[in-house]
Amino acid sequence: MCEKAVVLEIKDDYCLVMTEEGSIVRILKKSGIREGQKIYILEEDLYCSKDFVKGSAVLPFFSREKDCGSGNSGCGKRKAIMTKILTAAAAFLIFVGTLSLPQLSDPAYAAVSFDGEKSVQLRLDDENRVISAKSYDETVNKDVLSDMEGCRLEELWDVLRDFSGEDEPVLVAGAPLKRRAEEDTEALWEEICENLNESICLRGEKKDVREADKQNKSLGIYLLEKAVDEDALAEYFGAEQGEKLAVFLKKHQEKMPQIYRKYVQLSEAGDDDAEDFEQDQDEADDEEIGDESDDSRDDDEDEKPGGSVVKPQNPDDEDSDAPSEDGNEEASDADDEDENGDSDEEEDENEDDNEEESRDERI
Amino acid sequence: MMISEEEISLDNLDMLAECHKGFIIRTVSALTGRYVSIEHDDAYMIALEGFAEAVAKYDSSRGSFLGFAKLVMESRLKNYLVKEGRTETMASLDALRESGWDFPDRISEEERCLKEEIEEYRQQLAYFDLDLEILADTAPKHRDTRENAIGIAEKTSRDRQAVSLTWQKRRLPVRAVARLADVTEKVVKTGKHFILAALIIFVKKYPGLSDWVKKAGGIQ
Repeated sequence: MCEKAVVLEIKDDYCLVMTEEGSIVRILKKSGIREGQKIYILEEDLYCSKDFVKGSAVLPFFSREKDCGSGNSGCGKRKAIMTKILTAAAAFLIFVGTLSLPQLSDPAYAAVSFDGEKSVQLRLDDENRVISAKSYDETVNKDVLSDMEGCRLEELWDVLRDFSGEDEPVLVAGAPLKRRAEEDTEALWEEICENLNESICLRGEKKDVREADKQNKSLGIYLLEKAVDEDALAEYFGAEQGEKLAVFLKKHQEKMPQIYRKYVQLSEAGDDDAEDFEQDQDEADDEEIGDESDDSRDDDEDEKPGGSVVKPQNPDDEDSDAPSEDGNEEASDADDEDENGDSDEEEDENEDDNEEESRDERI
Repeated sequence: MMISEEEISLDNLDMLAECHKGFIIRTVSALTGRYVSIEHDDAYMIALEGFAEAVAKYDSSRGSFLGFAKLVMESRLKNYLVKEGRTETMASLDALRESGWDFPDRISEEERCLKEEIEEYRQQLAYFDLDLEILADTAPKHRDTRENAIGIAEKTSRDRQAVSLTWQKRRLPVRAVARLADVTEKVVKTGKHFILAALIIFVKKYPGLSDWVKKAGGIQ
C-alpha cells in the first residue's frame, strides 16, 4: 500500500490525514509533518491504538505487528484479543455447522412406509430413488434393506408386493419432507395406487415422520394409531378405504393388538349408535303414523342428527351421515305437510316414510 | 510484483520506479525519519537517482535486485544528508520547537492555502458538532461506499434548499438528501457524517480539499 494523503490535523501522538481515496485515517507522527502537507503514506505508517479499536479506519492492518509495536503497545494486545475472539467464533461456527449441515444438506424429499406382513420405511429423493430404508419392526432383512438403497421406487414394486399376501391390503403412508415436494407427492401417490392395488393410503406430514421415528414406528403405523386414538378414521382414511382397513387390522391384530382393540371398540360403538338410530327411526315412524303429536316429531328431529353413525369399517362411512341428514330433512318436510291435515297428502307421507325406512335399512 | 532479470535495464526505468515506488518511499522514510512529500522532496529525488544507478549497475552476481538497490539508495541518501547536514538540523529544530521556539516553515503557497482551508473546514465541522476524529471512526471503509457518499454530497450541494436546511438544522436532512440523490434513507443515515463532511467541502468550495475529495469520489 502506498497512498497519497493530505495532512488535516496534527495531534500529540498521531496525525489525521485524508487519503486520495477519501478516507480519513490516523497515521504515526513523524518529524517535519505539517498541516496541509501532501505526503505518501505506507501501510506501516498507520497509527493503531487500543483507543481506536471500535470502528477505526485503521483496523485492517493487524498483520504489521512489528510496525504497530514500534508505534504503541496496544496493537499486540488487541491482536491477541481479536485472535481469541476469532478462534471462539470459528469454533462456534464449526460446532453449529456440524450440527446443522447434515440437516441442511439432507436430500430426502419424501418418506413412504409400507406395512403388511413385513414393514419398511423408505426415504426418497426427488427422483424417487431410495436414500435409506428402515424396518422398524425388523421384519425385513438388513441385506434386503441395503439392497433397496439406491434403487428407484419403480424397481421395488415386486419386493413391496411380497410384503403381504395376495389380495391382502398394504398400509402405505407417505409424507413430503420438503416443501416443494408437497405437490410432487401427488404423482407418487398415483404411482403407488397403480402398482399396489390393495393399498390403504395414508398421508402425513413431516412432523409425523419425525414423531413416528421418535416412537420407533413406521409412519403408517403411527398415523393409524393416531387416527384410532383421535376417533378420526374417516378423516384419515376416507370412507372408501374402511373395508380394506378392517381386513388389514383383522389380519394384523396380533401385530398391533392395542390398535385393533381400540378399533373394535370404535366399531362396536358405531354399531350401537346405528342400532339406536334405527330403533329411534322406527319409533318415530310409528308415532307419526299413529299419533300426530308435534312433540314426538320434534324429539325425533333432535335425536336423528345425534344418531348419525360413524362406522369406520363401513366403506360408506362418511356417506352414512349424509343420507340420514337428508332423511331427516325429508321427514321434517313431510311433517310440515302433515300439519295441513290433508288425508291424501298423509298417504303420500306414509309412502315417503316407507321409502325412508327402506333407505335407512339399506344404509 | 516480480521483475525478471532481463527487465532490469535503464530502458524500463520508469516502469521499474513505478513498480517499486513503495519500496523507494519506504527506504527514504526509514532513513530520514519523516514522510515523503508528494510535491517536491529532495531526499526522494536522491533516492530515485540511486535507484536508477542501481538499475544501471545491477547484475545477477550482486544478489537480489532490491537488496542491491536499497544499498545504493541508502548510500546516496546518507551522502546527501551528511552534505546538507539535514539529520542533525532536523533534530535540533524539532528540539527547539518543542521548547517553544517558532520557526517559519519553508512551505509552498499552495500548502499554506490548503492549511488555511483545513483550519476553516475544521471550524465548519465543529458547527455541526463534528470533528476529524469522528470522521476517522465513522467514514465508510469500502471504497465504493465512500465514492457513493461523495456523489450524494455533491448532488446535495447543488440543491440550495437542502443546503440551507442543513445549515439551518445543523444536521443532514436525511430524507431530503435521500430523495435528491435517489437513494434509500438507510444509505444516507449510515454515512451521514461522511456525507455531511463532504457536503461542507463542496458547499464552501474549498479548492484544495474539493479537488482532493472529487478525485476520491471519481467526480470530474
